[in-house]
Amino acid sequence: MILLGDLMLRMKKTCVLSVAFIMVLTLFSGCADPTGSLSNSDSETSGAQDNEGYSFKTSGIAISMHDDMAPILDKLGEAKSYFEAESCAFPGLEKTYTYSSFSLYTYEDGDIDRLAALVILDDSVGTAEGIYLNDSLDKIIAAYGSDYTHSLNLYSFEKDRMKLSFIVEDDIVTSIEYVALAGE
Amino acid sequence: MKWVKVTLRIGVVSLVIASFFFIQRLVMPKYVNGIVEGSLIETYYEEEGNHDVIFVGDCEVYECFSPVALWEEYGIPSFIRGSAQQLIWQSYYLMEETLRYEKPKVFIFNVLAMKYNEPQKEAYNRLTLDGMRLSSAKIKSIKASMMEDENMIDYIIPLFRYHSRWSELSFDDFRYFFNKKKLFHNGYYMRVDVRPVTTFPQGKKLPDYSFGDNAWGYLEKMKKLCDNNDIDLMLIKAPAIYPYWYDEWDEQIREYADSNDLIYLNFLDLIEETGIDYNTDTYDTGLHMNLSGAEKLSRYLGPILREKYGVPDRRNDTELSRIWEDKTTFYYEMKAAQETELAGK
Repeated sequence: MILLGDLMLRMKKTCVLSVAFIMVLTLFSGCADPTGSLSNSDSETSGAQDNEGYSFKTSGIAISMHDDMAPILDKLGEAKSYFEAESCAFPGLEKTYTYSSFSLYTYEDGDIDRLAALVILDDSVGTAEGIYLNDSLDKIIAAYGSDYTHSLNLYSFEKDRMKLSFIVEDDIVTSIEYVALAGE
Repeated sequence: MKWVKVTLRIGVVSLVIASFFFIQRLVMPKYVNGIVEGSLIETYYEEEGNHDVIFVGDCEVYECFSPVALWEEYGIPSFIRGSAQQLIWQSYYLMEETLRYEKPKVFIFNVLAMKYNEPQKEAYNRLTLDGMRLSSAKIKSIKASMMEDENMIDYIIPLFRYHSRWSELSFDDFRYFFNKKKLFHNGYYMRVDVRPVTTFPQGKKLPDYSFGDNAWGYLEKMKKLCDNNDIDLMLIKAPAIYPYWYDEWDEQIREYADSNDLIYLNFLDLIEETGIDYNTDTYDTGLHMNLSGAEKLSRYLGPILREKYGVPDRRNDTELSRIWEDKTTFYYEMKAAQETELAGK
């Protein structure tokens, strides 16, 4: 019986050590997301912060990426068209509001819709720094400097969790897009 | 005493391993309510094989085609191995894994995934990879799908990823611990409700419309895998109006299909032929088809599978008919239940 008791004690030790090993492995692995949830915002943009990036100005308001959409929509009035797309993998909607000269795209941050992207649709509006569709690359560089990233015909200026991108074809600006970036 | 010692040691180790798997199973998301799409991939393993047609791809396959309609009207047994934002390398490795279980006559791939050339998001990866059984195909798929800050071990042993769900466990985690409720019809996600298309945003201008090398590489691998196994590969684009499918993308796929002697059906160009009506055949303003739309597409596809690929009518197979009878019953029960629920709203 003494031998068996000793054996039981050893087994108990083995068991405790094994469980402890598993627990340590479990606790220290994959702890990047402490909530364990796979929310739509886990690698997206999230959280309200002061936005110092480039803003788009229209109707007397400045619109920045990550802004709460509610006051923006109040000021802009009813959109020419509205489209919403439900994610295949998460609860929630991505919404698109199209006005006559620009479109606004949203992402969900908890209960708040925030601005994910803005695309300029015609040359009746431009960036706050004065760039319009059909302008030249030189004009972009004069307005924003030469600290840009360039890939194919895309010229991008990053600033504080946002990116302002221009597509330039044959030295003519054919697309202007503001995009919210992930990260703090 | 030696046998006692050995027995006890085995018992302890077994207990530890069992506890580990018990905890892992408990904390893993069950995907039976809300985002049910997370359960799609694992449903394949409940099957006995014997499918002549296997679909792979994103939501544009699992919400746009009805295997039951293909069976009822053409006697074609099929399965949809689809999942949310399934990336092309995930589709490829699912094809590779499928061949461990069966050899279909045709693989059908929805080409929207060609737009992605690199991994996008861990959360989407999980919806495909967590449902796969451990295999070399799964490991290769994980490797191809991982984001920079991810670890392979978190996919192979999901407990490492989900351990912190411990504090979020709900009744469903216990209720569906052993068996999940049946939600799909051979990989088809049924919706009978209707929400017509009213408008949709035009595609944003892109700096480059060329598909990436990685995406092309996996399409080529799909073709080779099919060639090596004497299986036909068919390319499709479901008639979903969003995400936007650019003409420039369509042209590249057409050229690839032409030069490789593949059939490519862009259902966006076949609205009249299929009879798709965006006022009645979609449940979410054109992103996916509802049951009516999925059945129309399946009815159009059936004769092509029959005539172009020689997929036979197998309704005379008694055993197969018995299996599909159960599936058909469940299909119509769910259809009736959803219609009743809608009528009550």
